Amino acid sequence: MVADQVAHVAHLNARDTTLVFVSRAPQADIVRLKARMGWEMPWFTLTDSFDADFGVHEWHGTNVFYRDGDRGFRTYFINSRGDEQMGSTWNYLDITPLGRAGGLGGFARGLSSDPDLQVVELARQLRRRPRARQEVGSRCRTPERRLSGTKAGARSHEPVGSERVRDRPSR
Amino acid sequence: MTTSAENGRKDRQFAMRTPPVVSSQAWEAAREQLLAKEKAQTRARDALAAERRRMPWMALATAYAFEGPAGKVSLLDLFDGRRQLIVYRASSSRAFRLARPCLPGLLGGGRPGRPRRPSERP
Repeated sequence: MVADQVAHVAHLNARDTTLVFVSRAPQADIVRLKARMGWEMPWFTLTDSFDADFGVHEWHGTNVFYRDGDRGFRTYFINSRGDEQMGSTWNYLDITPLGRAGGLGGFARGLSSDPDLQVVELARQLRRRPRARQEVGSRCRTPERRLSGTKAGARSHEPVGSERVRDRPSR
Repeated sequence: MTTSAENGRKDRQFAMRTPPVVSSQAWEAAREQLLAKEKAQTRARDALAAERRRMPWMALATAYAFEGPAGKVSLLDLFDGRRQLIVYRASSSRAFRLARPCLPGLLGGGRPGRPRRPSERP
C-alpha cells in the first residue's frame, strides 16, 4: 500500500502543506489499521460525494487543494500510474502550487523546482530583501523527530504520544 | 525474457538474459551516456512541474464533510491551518478487512503487528 512508502508528514507540514488520507472505511477500521501498520498520517472517512466529485470514487487518486482564507480551490489531480509513484516529500511538493519551496513565503513563488537552484535563487532574493529573511526564519520549523530504532514494528506497540520527542510547536 | 517452454521448467524459472560484462572504463562510458539522458529527463520533469504550478484553479463550491477521530470536520478543516492540502484516496477495503481482529489467522506475519501479504500466507 502507498501508506508504506509515504515519507514522514512533518517535512510536508514544515512547508505549509498538509497530507491526509481518506477512505470509505469507518474510523474504527482506520484507527485499527493505522495502529497495526504503524502509520501516522491523518486519515479521514468519506461521508458524501467528495470521491465521486473529485475522480476517486472507483480507485485511488491524489487531489491537491489550496486555501485562501475561507475559500478553497482544487489545483491538481493525478491517479493511476502518475499517482503510484507518490510518497516522497519532493514528489508531493512538485504537485502543489507552492512547489518545493512551499511555505517559505509568497515571495518564494516562481523559484525553480530544482532544490539546488532554489537555494541559490532564495539566497539571491534574501540578499535583496532583508525583511524577507525574517519571514523565512519565522516560517521554518524543525520537523518533528522520528523515534530512533526500528521503523514501524517497534512504533506500533508504543503508547501514543508518550515518549515522542516534540520539538515542533503545535499549531 | 524467458520463453514459454522455459517457464515450464523449474530450474530455468528465474533465468534472465544478462547484459554484457565489461571493463571499468567501458562501464563508466556507458554510465556517462545514460546519465546524459537522465539529466535531460530531470530537467524536463522540472519544466513540467513549473507548468503544473501554473495550472488554473477551480473554486470549491460544495461544503464536504469528513469523519475524523474527533468527529465531523469540513474540507477546509483538513488543511489544519496550512495553505496547501494533499488528499490521497486509499481504496483498499481488503487491508481494512485484514486488520480486523476477527481474522487472527491472516495476521502477524512479517514485521510485528502487520497483516500478511498474500505471498506470506501459510
